[in-house]
Amino acid sequence: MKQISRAAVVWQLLAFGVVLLPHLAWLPLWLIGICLMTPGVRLMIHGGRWSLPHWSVKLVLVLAVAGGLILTYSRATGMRGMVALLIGALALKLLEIYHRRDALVMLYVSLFVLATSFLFYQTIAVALYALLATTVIVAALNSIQQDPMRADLLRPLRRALRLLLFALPLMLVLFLLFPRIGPLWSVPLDRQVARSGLADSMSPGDISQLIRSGATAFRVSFDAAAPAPAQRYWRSMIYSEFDGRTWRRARSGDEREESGLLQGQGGAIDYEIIFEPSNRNWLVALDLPAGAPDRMRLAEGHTLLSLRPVDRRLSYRARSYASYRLQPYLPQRARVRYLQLPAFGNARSRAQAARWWQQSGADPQRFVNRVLGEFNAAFSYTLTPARLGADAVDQFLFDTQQGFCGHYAGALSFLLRSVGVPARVVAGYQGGEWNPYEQYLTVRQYDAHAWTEYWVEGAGWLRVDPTAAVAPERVLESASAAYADDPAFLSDSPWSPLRLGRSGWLQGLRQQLDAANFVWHRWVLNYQARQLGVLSGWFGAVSGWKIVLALLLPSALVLGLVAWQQLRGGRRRPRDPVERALQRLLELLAREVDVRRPNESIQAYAGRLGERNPSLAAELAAVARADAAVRYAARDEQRQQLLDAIILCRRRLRRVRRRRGESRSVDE
Amino acid sequence: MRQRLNALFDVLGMRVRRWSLRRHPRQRTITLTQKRIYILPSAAGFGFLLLLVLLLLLAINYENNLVYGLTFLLAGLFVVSILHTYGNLAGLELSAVAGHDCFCGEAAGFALQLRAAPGREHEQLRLSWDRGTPRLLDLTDERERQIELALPTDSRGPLDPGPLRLETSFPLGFFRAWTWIDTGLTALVYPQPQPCRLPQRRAEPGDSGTALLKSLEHDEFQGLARYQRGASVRQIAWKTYARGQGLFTKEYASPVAEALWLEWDSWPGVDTETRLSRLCFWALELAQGQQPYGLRLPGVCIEPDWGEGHRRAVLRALALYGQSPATEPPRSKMWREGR
Amino acid sequence: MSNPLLQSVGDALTALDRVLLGKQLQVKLALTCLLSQGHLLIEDLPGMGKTTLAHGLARVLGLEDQRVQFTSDMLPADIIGVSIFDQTQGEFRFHAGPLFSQLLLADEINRTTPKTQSALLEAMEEGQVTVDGHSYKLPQPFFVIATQNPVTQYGTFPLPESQLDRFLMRIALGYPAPEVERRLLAGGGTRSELQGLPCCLTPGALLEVQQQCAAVHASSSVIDYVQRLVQYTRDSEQFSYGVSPRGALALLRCARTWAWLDGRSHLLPEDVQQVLEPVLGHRMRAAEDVGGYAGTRLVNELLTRVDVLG
Repeated sequence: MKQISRAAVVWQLLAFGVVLLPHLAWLPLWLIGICLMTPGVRLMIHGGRWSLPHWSVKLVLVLAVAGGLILTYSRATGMRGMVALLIGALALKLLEIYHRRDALVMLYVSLFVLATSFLFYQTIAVALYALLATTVIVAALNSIQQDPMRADLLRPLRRALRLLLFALPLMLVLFLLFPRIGPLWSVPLDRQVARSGLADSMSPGDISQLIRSGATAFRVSFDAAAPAPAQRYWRSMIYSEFDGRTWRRARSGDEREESGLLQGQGGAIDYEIIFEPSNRNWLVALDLPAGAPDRMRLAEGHTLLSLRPVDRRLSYRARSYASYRLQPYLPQRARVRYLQLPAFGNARSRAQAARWWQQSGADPQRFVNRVLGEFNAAFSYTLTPARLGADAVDQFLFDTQQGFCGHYAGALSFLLRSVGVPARVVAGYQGGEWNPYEQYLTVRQYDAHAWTEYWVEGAGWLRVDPTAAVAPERVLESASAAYADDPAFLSDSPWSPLRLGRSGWLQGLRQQLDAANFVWHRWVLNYQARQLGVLSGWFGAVSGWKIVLALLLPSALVLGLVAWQQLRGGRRRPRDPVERALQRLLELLAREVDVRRPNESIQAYAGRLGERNPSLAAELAAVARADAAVRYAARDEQRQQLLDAIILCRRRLRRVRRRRGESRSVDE
Repeated sequence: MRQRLNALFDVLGMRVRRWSLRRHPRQRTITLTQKRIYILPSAAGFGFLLLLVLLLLLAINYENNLVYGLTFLLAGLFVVSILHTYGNLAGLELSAVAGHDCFCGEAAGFALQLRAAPGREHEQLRLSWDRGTPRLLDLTDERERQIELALPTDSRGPLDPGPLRLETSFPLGFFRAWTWIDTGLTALVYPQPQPCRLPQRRAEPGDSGTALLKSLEHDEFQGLARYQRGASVRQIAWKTYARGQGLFTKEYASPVAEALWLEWDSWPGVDTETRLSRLCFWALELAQGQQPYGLRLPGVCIEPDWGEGHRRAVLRALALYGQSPATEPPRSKMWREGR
Repeated sequence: MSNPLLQSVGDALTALDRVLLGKQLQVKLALTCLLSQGHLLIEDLPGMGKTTLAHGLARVLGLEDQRVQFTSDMLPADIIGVSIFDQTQGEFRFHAGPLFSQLLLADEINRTTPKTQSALLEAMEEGQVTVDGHSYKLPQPFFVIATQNPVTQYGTFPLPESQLDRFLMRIALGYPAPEVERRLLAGGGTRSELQGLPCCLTPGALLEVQQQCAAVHASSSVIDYVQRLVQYTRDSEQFSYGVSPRGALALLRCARTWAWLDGRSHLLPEDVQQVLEPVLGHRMRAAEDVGGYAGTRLVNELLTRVDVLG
């Protein structure tokens, strides 16, 4: 059992600290307490102020931690309990690390715990932090191998950096080429992702909650040009049931409802969505998706539904048609569903609808235009509407006359249904912020939107956005522009950079950061989706031997470099330029004339060579003289002379050699 | 199981060692190259591989590319550390300097010189003989270091320490690089000195000057003699003269001390090793004085003399007594023409 | 040659060369040794001119000299001196022995017993002697030129290694070259010429010369070279033991004087190489032949193995 140095103990503590840090956010407080206490105790022991704890103290601590963990995590599944256990074990182990093997085990476990932090966080910052933490742990690994008497703290760090610098390219190669396979067994991920995003129902005032949040909902990149802002309707779910106040999704049994026949018209739009975890099943697609990707299905009204709640960032490709004909023939059951209204309530609205219906000649489109005209004339858009009581539609239409998308979409749908036109509220997002750096669209929670679809015989479902009639800028520009002055906007995050205007370098910076995140999500976190494409792009058809070759060649290159760096021996040229020049001259002389014997000083050597080669004698003597002055007589001012003499001598040597070469060729 | 595995490794290790030593003849100065350096993962290295497998499983099951990344970074580290460990030995120049003789029971020192390759550092080099405590050293601040690697002794005679093992697992402990070097160093183990009394020897006729330990003083004052013409002025007893007692010269004992003989037969009925130990003790005692002494063993006779060289010759004869000449090592180091 | 001291020392050398024919190198080395404030050991057979050299050196350096022939019955008191009771004064009076001279020629030092040898060598080392509890300072400057028969001769006590270190240099004169010997036989370079040697240096000037020699600049390159040389003797298996730091210092000191004699104020590696054998020869012992000193072969080995430039 080899002891470790005191410097190594400090490195162990550092390693533990860096590993602990990312987990602090979710660990139970009592465990954090222990994790902070044990390094402190160890430091006191290290400083010689305390002695090592008695075994009974350690036993009590072990039992306490074990008991606490059982109480806290007995019900939980997944990694959380295990990671907490490992961290607890590390904290206790810190108390008794004296030997190399203890330290080794501790550092290996630390590396594992570090890896588990990626299950909780996957941002660039955390990845960079992990790189730093790895450096610390590798330094700690190195420190336990160093001389126990050595108290050098920085040396292991330098060694760790040198090791990791060359491990990075190997990592890159492996990362790119290592085949990704699906999970070997299913693992529960108990990350407590809050349910976020759109709700399953909409009563007046709901969507306004989302408007308070600047969190990213999803990002989209298009294969070709992005559709115009006014076309960016991201449909998510259909609210088809209305109870007089609340619009809600059809109950689960009805989700199987046929989503309807779709005829796409014009060019299809292909795009990729990186969807932030919401812990719900619904997804988004551009109005209107042609089909469902893997592990998803089409739900009511051609919306996308994930087969399991989205608890991690999800990336999927989809294809949509901007102009389409959806469900030109509505089955009877569906017709009944989309005309469903409560028997009573909102009588004024119904009466008004009937009046308008008559005036517009029972033409749904003219009716819709009529209503939109009314909206445009008398209504105003606000994020903080007045509360609505019973008969909310009546109150909205005739009393308050202000509201946001949910109010208008709900009211319009209600009016349409009351005159016998099948209609539904579509919930989703509208717009998004275009990121010019990476060419993608960021859609945030405050872009949440609701609009109306109504059915016309032969034409199918038609989209109408009543909000556009009231506040066209909401649709044509971004939500942030439309809401910027509204007090409710982003009220959850008063310091959000999103509040900054639309211009200025800060805004640019924010977008660049967001672009970096996008690239990170797309290329790193979701690399498995891209790997095949990348590899076939580089190597043509991907085959086993090509992968092996691609793996071996760069690795060999990197290793060759390390080997060279590690093993390069031989003489190193002196730093001093004069010495270097002199050494080069000596090498040249050794090659061209004769080697210097070890017992010869430069003066003796020059004398000997000069005697044998009178043509060089003068130059050699000058070098010898100047060298003696500099080297032995401490006449540093002659360095320049020495350099000049060396250069002259080299030149002379070259001339002599050339002449010799010529004479030889003449002889021949 | 573990024991059997260890035994297997031992056997394999011996094979490799024999093969390695056969391949590389003795040399005084050896520069370690890839031909000599063997490298294998250590237990810690296998442990790290296990960690890598666990991390890979984590990455696969959670489809987490960052865990993949960390796994691959550590895998790269593992590979790069091979070269670092190897580089920690490679280029090292090891010279066998000398074996230092010692007395039985002490540790014989073997001087070795290690010299770092130019511009490189070597840390935590572990040198060991088959027996004795290994020695760890760093070659970081200075380019070369001379160390004395001790080997405990338990019997008299020439001592061959066997091959030298030089090993390292720096910088991360994942790999162990090692080499065997036949240094060819030997040392002589003298008998353990055993304090005792020298038996008084009867003066034998015709052997006048051999009374043991007569005196270690050379110029003992013997008495006064009446002054005779021609006597050295310096020998005149001036003090007597000053007292007016007449002119006398001082007489001194012969300034050339008598030679002493250390005899094999001095202690009858004592076994060989004890005898040698006692002779050894007395040889050391006498070497401190300035009196010539000689040594007589059966078949060996060293004429009386004194000085460092003589002392060594006597000790050497004692160390080698009864040892077959074949095992007698050549003086000092072998292969002196090795360079 | 603007240095008048150097001029006078040069004159002394030329004068000595006239007396000791064909021994320029040895004469210069001997002078170097004395100017470096060290004692000289001359090892050679009788009749090679050892005594002539010593007397000559004493004359040209203006030193008062004494010669002691060492024999096996000699006592320490014979060279140091004795305290004698003076009746008229009623006290002991110290009668100084031949040791109390500026230049002592100790002839055939290996003929006397170790005890007498060590008495002399201790006096050399300490510059004073102690008799009956009184310390007596030796004159300044104080030089010993000891001569020694080659160790193989019968009936001698070779100086132990620890004592040899006290001599700064050991030189051998050797047989004269044939033509020199012919001139010698024809009547040149005799004792009579010894009397005609001029005194070239006053005691004050000698001191000055010694100071100037010690002030010769040794650059780090030369010092490194000296260090490498002695390190080699310690590391190489050819040597039974290496040169001590005192030996290294002696080497540097002599090399400085040698450089000064060449009229330089800085050291060159050549200076070190020139004085290497006389200074280090008796301080190293070859590994194989017990009893012998490192000969020319080992010094050559040292010279050819150790790189001047490092």
